[in-house]
Amino acid sequence: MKIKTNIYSALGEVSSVYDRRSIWTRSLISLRKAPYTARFGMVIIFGYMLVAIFAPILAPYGEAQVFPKPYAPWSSDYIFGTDQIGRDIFSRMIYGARNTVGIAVATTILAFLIGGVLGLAAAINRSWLDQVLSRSVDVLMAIPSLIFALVLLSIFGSTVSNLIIIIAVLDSTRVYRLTRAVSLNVVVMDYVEAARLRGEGLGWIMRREILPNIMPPLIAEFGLRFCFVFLTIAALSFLGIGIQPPTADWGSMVRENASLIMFAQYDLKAGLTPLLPAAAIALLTVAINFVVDWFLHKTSGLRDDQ
Amino acid sequence: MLLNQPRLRLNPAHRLIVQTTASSIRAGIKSRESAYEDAKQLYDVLNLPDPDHIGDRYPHQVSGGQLQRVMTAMAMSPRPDLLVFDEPTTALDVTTQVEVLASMRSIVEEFNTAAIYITHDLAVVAQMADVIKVLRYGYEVEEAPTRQMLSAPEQAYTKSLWSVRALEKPQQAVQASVLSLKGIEARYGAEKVLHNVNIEVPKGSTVAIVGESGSGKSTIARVITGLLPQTSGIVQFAGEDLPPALANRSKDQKRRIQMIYQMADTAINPRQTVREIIGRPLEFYLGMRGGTTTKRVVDLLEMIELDAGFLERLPEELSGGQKQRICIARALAAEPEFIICDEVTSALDQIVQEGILKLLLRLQKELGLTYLFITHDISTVKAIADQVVVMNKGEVVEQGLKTDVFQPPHPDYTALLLSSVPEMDPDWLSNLISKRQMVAG
Amino acid sequence: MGVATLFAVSIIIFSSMELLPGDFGQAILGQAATEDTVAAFRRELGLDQPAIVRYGQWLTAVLQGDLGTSFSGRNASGVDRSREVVDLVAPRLRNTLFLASMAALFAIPLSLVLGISTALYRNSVYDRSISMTTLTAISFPEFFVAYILILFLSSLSSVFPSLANVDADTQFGERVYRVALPALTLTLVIVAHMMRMTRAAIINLLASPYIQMARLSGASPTEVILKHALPNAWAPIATVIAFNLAYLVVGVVVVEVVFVYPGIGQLMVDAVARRDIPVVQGCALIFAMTYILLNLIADIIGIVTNPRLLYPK
Repeated sequence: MKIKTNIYSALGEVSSVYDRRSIWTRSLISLRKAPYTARFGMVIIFGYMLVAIFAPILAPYGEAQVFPKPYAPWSSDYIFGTDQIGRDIFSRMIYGARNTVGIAVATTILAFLIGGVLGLAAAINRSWLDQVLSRSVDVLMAIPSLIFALVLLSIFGSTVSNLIIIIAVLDSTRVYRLTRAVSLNVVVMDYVEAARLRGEGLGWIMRREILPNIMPPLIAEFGLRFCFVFLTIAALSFLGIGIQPPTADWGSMVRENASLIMFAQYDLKAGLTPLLPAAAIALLTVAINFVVDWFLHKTSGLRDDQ
Repeated sequence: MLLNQPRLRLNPAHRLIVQTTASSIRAGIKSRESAYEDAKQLYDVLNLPDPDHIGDRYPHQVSGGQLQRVMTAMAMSPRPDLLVFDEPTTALDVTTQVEVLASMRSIVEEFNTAAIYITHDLAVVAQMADVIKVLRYGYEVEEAPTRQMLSAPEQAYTKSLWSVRALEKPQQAVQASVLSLKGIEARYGAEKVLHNVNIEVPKGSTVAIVGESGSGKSTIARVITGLLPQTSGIVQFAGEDLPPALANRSKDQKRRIQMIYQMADTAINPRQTVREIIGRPLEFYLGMRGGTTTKRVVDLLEMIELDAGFLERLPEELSGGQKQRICIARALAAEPEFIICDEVTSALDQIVQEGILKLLLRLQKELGLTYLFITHDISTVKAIADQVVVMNKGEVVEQGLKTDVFQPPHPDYTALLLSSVPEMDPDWLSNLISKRQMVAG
Repeated sequence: MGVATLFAVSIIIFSSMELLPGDFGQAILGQAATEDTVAAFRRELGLDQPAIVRYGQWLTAVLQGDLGTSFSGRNASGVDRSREVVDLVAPRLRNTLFLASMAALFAIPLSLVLGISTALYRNSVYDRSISMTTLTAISFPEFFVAYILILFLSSLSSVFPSLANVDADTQFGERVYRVALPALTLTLVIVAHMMRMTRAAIINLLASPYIQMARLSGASPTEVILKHALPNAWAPIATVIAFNLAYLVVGVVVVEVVFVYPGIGQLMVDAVARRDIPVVQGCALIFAMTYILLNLIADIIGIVTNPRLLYPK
């Protein structure tokens, strides 16, 4: 079969031109196509956000309000019972969402600010700055971060601000590595060279030429980093050297009520109590992992019109 | 089956001969000894150096042209009835390409194998094929024996493919130089990549720099633009010396020299719209704002034969040729006098190439632009250049008017380079081989 | 490279002593301590000498196996009942290594088999369900896994003890029985990570052009795996294993606390809570050394299996 050959024109090179969709319609379309795991994840994350924001309204009692009945069983007054000194566990769970998640979010944002800016700068500069930063990161990463955090906390003491700064600095090394690696792929592009030839400043090149192109992996990394930070802080609190009482926190709540688990054979509900805050942690990280997994899959080449 | 990029397609963990013979030993066609013996013979027919021992090497220990020949031996080892070549010489230099083509043809003839050769390069196909089939958009356009197809193509599309090769710019009168390079030396670290390079570029003309990869032709562009400051020598532009480093040049000096890249895909930011890409130099150099910018962008789009409908498109919504046009428009937006074109057409299809070259010629005539054209493709040089500079290993081998350089007598390297460029004549490769053998003999 | 890193790490760990706030002597010895005892304590730590000198002394001591003296056991009266850090660490290190090797023994083969098989049958129901499960599992905090296991295997059914209290006299069989739950917890956590990384590494490898080439030339799936993929897979697999064993070292800390297992992790956590810096330093040094050593081994395996480095041009 032969086709009619038409006369060449630059305008006619692309055969199908479609209307550009706005960002919102595009994300709505991809949301509708999202697998059920990702949708489940998004609903959970949204739920946690609501609980964290409206904690004082939702909680029946105060965060550190003590009742004269330690280890009270589950009842209509104390939905999940009370803890070893008589605080309402359900209320503390709700406040815990605010404290534990809030601190983890703050830490992750700080880690991204430090790691992201330094990583970008190293990728563009490529000379002594890159050398110095990359070598120091190598050394920092040679020590397991939980161990390093333990050492630093033993020196500076366990306050919330110390916790945030220490974990953020340790975690920023990984953000630095990723940002530097993905930026290096973009920095070698001719359009960055073209911008440099034009005489654009460093700030413009970072913001307008590079940043939009490295956003997808960074967003995915933000989710994963958050999980990691969240789990690290939970582990430290569980070990008793993270968030300190009386602040309600899921990690330390597990520790405080751990002994209840051996009563499971007499009262299953009591045995479940220490698992509740642990499950709250697990549920959020699972949800985030589901969303990130889908996001990575989507941005690794599969566009919405394919 | 033979594919391009042999470096990626051979297993880095095994010796070459093991990979060459694996499929015939597995299929039980040959014993291990006879397969190895046969592989050595194949290496010999394929003109590989030291055929008895080259098989003991690992893929990273041999050159790209040699690897492609090993891949040929690998494909021939089980004596297939059909061999498929998929752009096997695409990533190779012209002088290497000739050798690889010659050995592929001899092996196909020697073992009387049928072969399908897939390529976008018409001159190569003219050497290799008995019958040519032209495809477009998944449809067959035309099929005919090679000679007939070359001399008398029937379809308009095929004719247009052939005509690109025929494009030739008439020689122009020489004007005063707008750019001169005087005694330029440049280094990458300790390695010296340019040796005493002197080039004059007359105003309003096109100077083409030709050479193979590693000849230093792209380094010249980096020196002129200030990305790689020269270690000695002077770059003179419009009568004044340019500071070597980009950082020391004024905004106006940067504006007057613009650059167009080989890969339009990587030269425009995939996250910016056409309006942003072309508008930025207008705002940056000329201080335009808002409505004025948009109006000027539309003017520029019309200049490159596109229209206002493209303003809000992202690069992924453009074809390869359109992207390259956007790059040209971005360069024009700065209202430059001098444009460096680095292999601007080599990533494009023949027919799109022709469109871009014609556009550049028209813009030169209308705006009085001066071009420095960096290319490895001789037919592009014929199409667009007034003067030619031949480079090899960081040195200028020959330079002068196009008509002079393309006329014999040539220095040795120019002769080798020119003779290695495939021509549309189907007898060209055979003639070349016998000629070179006579000289060698 | 490994030595240089160790050196840098030792400096960091040493500087932890430098960063202590000025009044820590008072804090350790208690409010009742006189200025004299505090000064004597500072002198004993050598805080009156320049940092470089002390670093030299500290490093030589560490190289000779002397990790210093614990802060605990001191009090305001100046009576010193403190113990050598080495004596505290050594028996616990043995316990920790025992627990870690138990976990590794099950985790490594299991995760390699799972990782390779899911990579081969990519996108099958088998692969999807395993990937789902492990994705869920890596999101769980270690103590959550641990308490779930305790709930089912100890509290509700009493299969295993919930406390892994062993001492030097415990018999081998008894020891294995007692560490079953902590080892199982570690195995579950590690397998999820290791399996996902192995799968990713193998898929990455299978996507390379030379594997496609091997398939085109008619090699059977088994042959593709054994002859073409595996020789190139040692380096990534070694990296995965080393990385996860290093992770195991960290996971041990939490798990030991849950099961009250007398290992080095628990010792470190207690020391951090008491701000007993010499003990923290000693434990951190051991953890860091293990971690660096494992990564070094992975690098070496990567080098000896890479033909580019074995047969230079």
